[in-house]
Amino acid sequence: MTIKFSSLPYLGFGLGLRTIHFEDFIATSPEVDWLEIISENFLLESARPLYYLDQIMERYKVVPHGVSLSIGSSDSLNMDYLKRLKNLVKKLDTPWFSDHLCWGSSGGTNLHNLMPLPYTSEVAKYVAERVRIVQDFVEKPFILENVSSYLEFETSTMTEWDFLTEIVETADCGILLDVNNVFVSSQNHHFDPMEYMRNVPKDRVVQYHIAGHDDKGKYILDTHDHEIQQDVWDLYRKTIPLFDQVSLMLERDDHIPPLPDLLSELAFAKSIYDDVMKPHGI
Amino acid sequence: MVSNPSPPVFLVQIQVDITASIVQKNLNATIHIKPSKTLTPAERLDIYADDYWARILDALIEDFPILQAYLGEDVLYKLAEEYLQSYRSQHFSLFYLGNRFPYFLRNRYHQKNKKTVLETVDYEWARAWCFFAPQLPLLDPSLFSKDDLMKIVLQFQPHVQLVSYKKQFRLIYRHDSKVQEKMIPRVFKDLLQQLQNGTSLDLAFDHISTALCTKEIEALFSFCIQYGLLCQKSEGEIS
Repeated sequence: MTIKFSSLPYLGFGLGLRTIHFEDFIATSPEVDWLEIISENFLLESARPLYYLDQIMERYKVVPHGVSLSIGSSDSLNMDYLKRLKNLVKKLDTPWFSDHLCWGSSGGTNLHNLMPLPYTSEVAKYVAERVRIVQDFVEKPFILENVSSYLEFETSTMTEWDFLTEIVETADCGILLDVNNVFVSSQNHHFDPMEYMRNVPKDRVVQYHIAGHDDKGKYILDTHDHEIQQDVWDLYRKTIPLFDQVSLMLERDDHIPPLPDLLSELAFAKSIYDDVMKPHGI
Repeated sequence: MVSNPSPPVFLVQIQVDITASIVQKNLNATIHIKPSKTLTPAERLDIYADDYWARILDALIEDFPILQAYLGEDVLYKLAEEYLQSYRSQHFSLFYLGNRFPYFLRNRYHQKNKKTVLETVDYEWARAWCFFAPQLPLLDPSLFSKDDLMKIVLQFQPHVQLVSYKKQFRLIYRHDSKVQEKMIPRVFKDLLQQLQNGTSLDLAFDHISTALCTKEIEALFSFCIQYGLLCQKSEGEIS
């Protein structure tokens, strides 16, 4: 499957749909351009999430974002998971689907976490091959998200952005650029986040994530349980001009505030975008 | 059939070692990890181990609030940790974490209050399972003649669970996308258990308690049909 990622639709400014807000979205239909769901919450037969999803899909464009594909795992791809994911993608009629550049299971044990990979060409080639399999199987454009990380491997021979670039170019997939994750990793591994941003292939960035984190003193933890910090807004502001129009999604996974608070934060993200892009005539 | 590419050998080793270190809480995998300016390899690995244990323990215990209130947080977390050491999560969904917890407690919990603990864990897991279990096509009795209806092999929907809890026999089921329960007279127990395992009505009625009258049976079946609790057992499942 050959895809022109730059021609994928621009969805605007979206929110992560979380259980706590299901009924708010149905009752009040707030103005949000699109919604992102955690794929795994809708892959089981459980009726309740699907009951809400059916109603929400009638009013919003919904895009699935996975946390358990484990694309970098040395375990075989989980075909049961992929079949379920393909059905969900089909049901949503989504322009793309996404998951993380990481591994989460090994030898059958699921760590339910986004574990970083060693950055080498050999691993990049392996991951790219699996991305191709997934994208061909699901038959929709796939975009890979950079993760926040707290450790680096002795075996790594390249930067994270070179590793990401090698994978997406070899596999021919898109990028979900998580601005907060770039910031968190830059602080934990002591690199310049703008160097990351400048070296990501421009024509493959389809979506941004933006979220909050927690400063633990000796390191920064990607918690998604805070308002977005000024450092991340600043990085977002500097990132915008480097890319074309990119759909943005605001994530909050813990200490989730009332929906109006998230909508205000999303409006702030949009105001930054408008402010930066006005001089560019967009 | 998808042909999986072979992973680099060093990648397999890193992932096996890190998984073992996180689950078994040891530091063996630190040989793969660089120190940072502020953290040692062990401290970096600990961030992931702490996150793993917090996530899976909280996810498991969330399904057992009554048990937590009964045993207390410290006791339940200790038992949950022992359980998750023995039965690692193997499913992509955290929903499945508790599926062997009742079995684990049956074999490993030996305190005086064991009976209450087992009854509670069974009850809470039945409700958790009921929430996400599959729904098979509903049985439509109008499609069958009365004779055929007696002979087809019926079973409960996978989300239907039968449990005894607080001296009551309960039918736990999902309706209108919510978990619900109905107290059932104990005389129905055998009949319902046969239906849970899959049986034809004529065989079930052969073994039915004489204490049941036709009206009671009819009421129960119309309830099961009305709430979509029955389905036809597929050919492949009939043993």
